[in-house]
Amino acid sequence: MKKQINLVLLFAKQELFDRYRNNILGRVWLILQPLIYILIFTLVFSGIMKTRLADFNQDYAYSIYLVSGLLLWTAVSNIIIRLSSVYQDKANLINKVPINLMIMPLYIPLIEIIIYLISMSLFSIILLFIDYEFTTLWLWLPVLLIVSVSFAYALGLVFAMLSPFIADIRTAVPVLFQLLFWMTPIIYLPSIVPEQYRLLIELNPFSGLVHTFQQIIFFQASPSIKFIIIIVLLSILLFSLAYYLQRKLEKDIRDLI
Amino acid sequence: MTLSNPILTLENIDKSFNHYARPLDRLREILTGRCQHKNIKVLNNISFSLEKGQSLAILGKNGAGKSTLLKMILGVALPDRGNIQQLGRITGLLELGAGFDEELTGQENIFINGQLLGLSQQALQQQYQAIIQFAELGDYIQQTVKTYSSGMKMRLGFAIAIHAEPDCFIIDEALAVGDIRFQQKCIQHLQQFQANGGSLLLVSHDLVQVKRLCQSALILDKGKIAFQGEVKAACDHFQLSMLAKNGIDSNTPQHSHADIHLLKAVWWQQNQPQTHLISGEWATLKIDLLVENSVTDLSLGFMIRDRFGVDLFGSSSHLQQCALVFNTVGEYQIEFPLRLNFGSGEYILFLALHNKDNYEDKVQFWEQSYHRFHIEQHTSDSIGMIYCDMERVKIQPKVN
Repeated sequence: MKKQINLVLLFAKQELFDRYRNNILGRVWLILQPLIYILIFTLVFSGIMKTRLADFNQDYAYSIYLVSGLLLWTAVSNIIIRLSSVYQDKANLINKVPINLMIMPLYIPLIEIIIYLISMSLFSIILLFIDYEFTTLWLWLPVLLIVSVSFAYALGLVFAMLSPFIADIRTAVPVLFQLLFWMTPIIYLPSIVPEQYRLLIELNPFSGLVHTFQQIIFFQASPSIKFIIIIVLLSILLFSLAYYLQRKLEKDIRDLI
Repeated sequence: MTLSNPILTLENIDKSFNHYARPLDRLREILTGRCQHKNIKVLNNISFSLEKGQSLAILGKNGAGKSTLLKMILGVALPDRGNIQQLGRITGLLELGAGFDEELTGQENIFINGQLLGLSQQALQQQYQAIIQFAELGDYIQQTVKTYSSGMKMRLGFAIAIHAEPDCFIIDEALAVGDIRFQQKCIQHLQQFQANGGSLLLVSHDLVQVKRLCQSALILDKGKIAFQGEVKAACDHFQLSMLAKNGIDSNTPQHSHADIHLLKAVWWQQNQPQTHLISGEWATLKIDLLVENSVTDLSLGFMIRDRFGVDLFGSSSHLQQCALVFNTVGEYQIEFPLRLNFGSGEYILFLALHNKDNYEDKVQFWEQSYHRFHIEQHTSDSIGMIYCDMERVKIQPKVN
């Protein structure tokens, strides 16, 4: 068990730090990348949708709305997309070293959490500069982050377990998430969605997840406890499914990859 | 001697690979239980145990199931049925370069690869110097692994694995690392490891090495244990079974229109057929032909190649200016007596019967790799590809 955790840490370290080692800026990139990402959205988009959000008396209102949802979306969708091909990506190691199939992919959410935390810290610094008022509601964020990441991990594991048998999953999941990006109110407000499509958005768990973050950071309102419980239950269900699939499929997954 | 301290026990291991028309059918079957496949059994009822400090060799032809068995012992593949119990730490050699990050230096890869093999950071810190020294990479250890030759990667991989200090060390044909001197060093290190109470699980075709390193051996044949016992008996048994099966490779083109067929070719030494020949001794290549129609102006030739396909030595009836004359139909035996002055190793025999002036006409057969055979040195007074007759080394004071 301890060995498995060490492997997770090793993979995470390899991904996070080692890939920048030949860059002149080195690990600075780890901060520079999300910084530029955030700056593009805050500065470039700050003027564009101002009229839409006129009720919010803030120059950067749209930027705050956008970034609060976008950072979470990026983390969650990256976790699921990368998990759907994790066994194929690590096939050469799975074939040589005994690795637990449920635990090994943990390095992916770990990396995404770290990148999210770096991005959020940068975002908070920017918020300080534009006189944003921080509230105690922010204490919800770590809890919500863990809930969201667990949900993404559980769903990703199910995809990962099935992808050796259905090769299309690895192709379809990234496409699906591109589609979902536009079906989730991240760059637009839910209010602009025509009535007949509302249900589509309400049934999409990602729009709910993104919305809780927007609610705390942008609307400064308490999240829906009911929704959080639903997501937790859904995650438990997905984890059980992933565990069941692992019990049934592990032998064949190892033979196939 | 009573042994009751197994570090590895296998009980009734079965493993088969299922072939499905589509990968989706596999999922459908696992989840619904309805059969969708053709089944190919790779391992059938394998049981054995390995005592602490003992070393076992696994012998078998290609495709006998050796690699699958090792994978299951390592825990990277799972059996269909049966139990595998590991009581000690078992480490396998990661295949050449696996787990190495090409963009990182040798030093950094020691830590990554070491951790993959189950070494703690602390243990790695302690072994670090020893690993670097063993790998003999010099200043290259500071360079990225992508600049390494394949031999250097293997040396580094071996050095890390050998310092992982497991209870049992699995070696799958991996002793062909680097040059002969490095191989000797590896073997010495393994013998030291054994002397300290370590076990080896060795898969090799080199019977001399097997006899040197292991006390017992088992022979896998088509997924079953064909023989299990003391190493020398097992090696003899293995040679005999190889001999019986050393048929013609089916992937070489058959000349069905030929009038003369190759029945078999066998090496003889010490008045009996052999697959493992002794270096420096006389041997005879006996080739049996079936002549259905007489063909004139032919040449029968052989070529001995090393495992990389390099021509080492060959001759033919035409080169020896001997006319091949078959007056009647029937079976003929042609003998090539020669002294095998080769070093230890695996060799490939190439046989052909064709027009004496060129290789294109009247080709009766053309067997590029008719069979593989081994040459072993029973004295250990020389190394290298060939064997020269020599006298003992002489030491005398120089008189001016």
